[in-house]
Amino acid sequence: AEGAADPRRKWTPQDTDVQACDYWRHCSIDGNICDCSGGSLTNCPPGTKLASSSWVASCYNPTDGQSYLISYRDCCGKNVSGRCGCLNTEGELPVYRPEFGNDIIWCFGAEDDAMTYHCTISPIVGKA
Amino acid sequence: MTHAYRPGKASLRSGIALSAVLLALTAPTGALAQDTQTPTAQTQTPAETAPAPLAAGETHGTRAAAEAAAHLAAGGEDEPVVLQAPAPDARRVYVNDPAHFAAITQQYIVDGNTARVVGMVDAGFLPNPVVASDGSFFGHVSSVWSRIARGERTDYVEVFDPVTHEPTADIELPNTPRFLVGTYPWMSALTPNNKTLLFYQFSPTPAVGVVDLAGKRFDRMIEVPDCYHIFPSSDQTFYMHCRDGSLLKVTRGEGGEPQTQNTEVFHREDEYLINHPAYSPKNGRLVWPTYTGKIFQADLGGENATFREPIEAFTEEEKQAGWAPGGWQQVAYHRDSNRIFLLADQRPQWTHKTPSRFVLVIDAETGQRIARYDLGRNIDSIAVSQDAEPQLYALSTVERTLFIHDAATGEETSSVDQLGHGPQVITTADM
Repeated sequence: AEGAADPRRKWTPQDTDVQACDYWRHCSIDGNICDCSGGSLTNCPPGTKLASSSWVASCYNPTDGQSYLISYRDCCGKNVSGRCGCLNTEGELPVYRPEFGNDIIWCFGAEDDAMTYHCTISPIVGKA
Repeated sequence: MTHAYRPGKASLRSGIALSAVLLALTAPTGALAQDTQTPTAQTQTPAETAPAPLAAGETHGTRAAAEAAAHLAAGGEDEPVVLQAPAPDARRVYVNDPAHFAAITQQYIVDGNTARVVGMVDAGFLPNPVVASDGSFFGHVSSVWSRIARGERTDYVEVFDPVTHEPTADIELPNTPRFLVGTYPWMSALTPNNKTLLFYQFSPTPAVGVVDLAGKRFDRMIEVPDCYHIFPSSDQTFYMHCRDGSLLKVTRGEGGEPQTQNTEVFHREDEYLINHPAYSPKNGRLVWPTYTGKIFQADLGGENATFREPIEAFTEEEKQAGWAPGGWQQVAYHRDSNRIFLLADQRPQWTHKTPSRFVLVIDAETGQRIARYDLGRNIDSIAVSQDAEPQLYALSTVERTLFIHDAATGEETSSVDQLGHGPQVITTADM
């Protein structure tokens, strides 16, 4: 989902609104922000299933000037939320480098084998 | 046809064209309808003559209204039936709407000649569409769940008649093997004889599923190395692209153990080959751009893959000015003219999936740029029809519209709007 602004604008991260597509941790998110459908920045909404697998990206935090490794994990088992759609591709690589590929439905490891896409969370797993 | 027509708007067209239009767009009356054996489930035979293109200022709606008014004024009766689509030709276009990861999705079947939706089919989560090379059928590999987006998952292949759009095969795939991913056309493919469908499995291990369409049954999974995409080069052979930068040739064999063979590594680790290459099964040409517009080409039709000298779509100066490919289906290849169409724009690095406003036309043999079209809007996917005077299809995901251009001039000739929620994939057949 593209914003109203120039779709080819350079990524400029902010640290003030997790529901906006330019929030710094969402630098390689593909889909919908879980905070907009009952989850939070790092937690899944009620009734969904949290994947254990993920793709990753190194995102720059403008507040402390550090880059962090974000492990994007999908919340699965419900239809797509349709809220806060967002697609960013900082450092995103093609499918033959799947650890950095974000078109993939990263629902592997979710409870009940849930594999439908609902939304994505953006937890930090380390410094990059 | 026995209808009389009053002079007026309709009189601008010839009687022959009008008859053809009426046959295609409205229910038949009289003898045609009486020929059907089941009055409660009547269907129409496909139009023998394709409908005439719209005149200036005319829309499908205004044309149909004029025809209905003429029919009514002439005392014609309405006898509703189920229509059939015109017989497919090289300009039949399939627009798939992955709908931004929705659990159910839709495919729009468009007649490129008239820019008219001639039918639709439903599918589940992130289906992979396929179209027979002779137009004799289309289908998809799809996934559904017993309770909308949860519960028991079923992966299946569905095949449709191209005229009635009725399913002619429904083949279940055991152990839910489909790779669920934003739709990459070459993650599923038909063999040249259209008898076998191949699909990719990502997890738990890389594999390619074999579906016997002729026998309407799942055949088997073929384990493969860490490779992606499927490009059939013969009825028994297909190629994949591997993480190490080589291609993998897989020879299925009849029942026996598949044989695999890697080519040389043909690109560097930091040259990123996009997820939507163009491939012509008819001549085996694989056209594969990178993020920066370097275009690798391989010919897969012979005994072994042969690589061509890579093309740079942009000069160093243009690269410095930010020119790079971008979008979803960013490249198309027209076989007869040996031309490459590349969707591109000025953009910062790492915006490779955002839409582009320009299409470059490149001679695939010499690498020379033939033209640059300014489409004037944000386009995510392109494709071309494979006829002698090809149409260039340009799909805008955000506008949910397919724009149809003359591929020789870039001029926009027509468009089809309201194509779902987030249409991304264009499929045509090289008939």
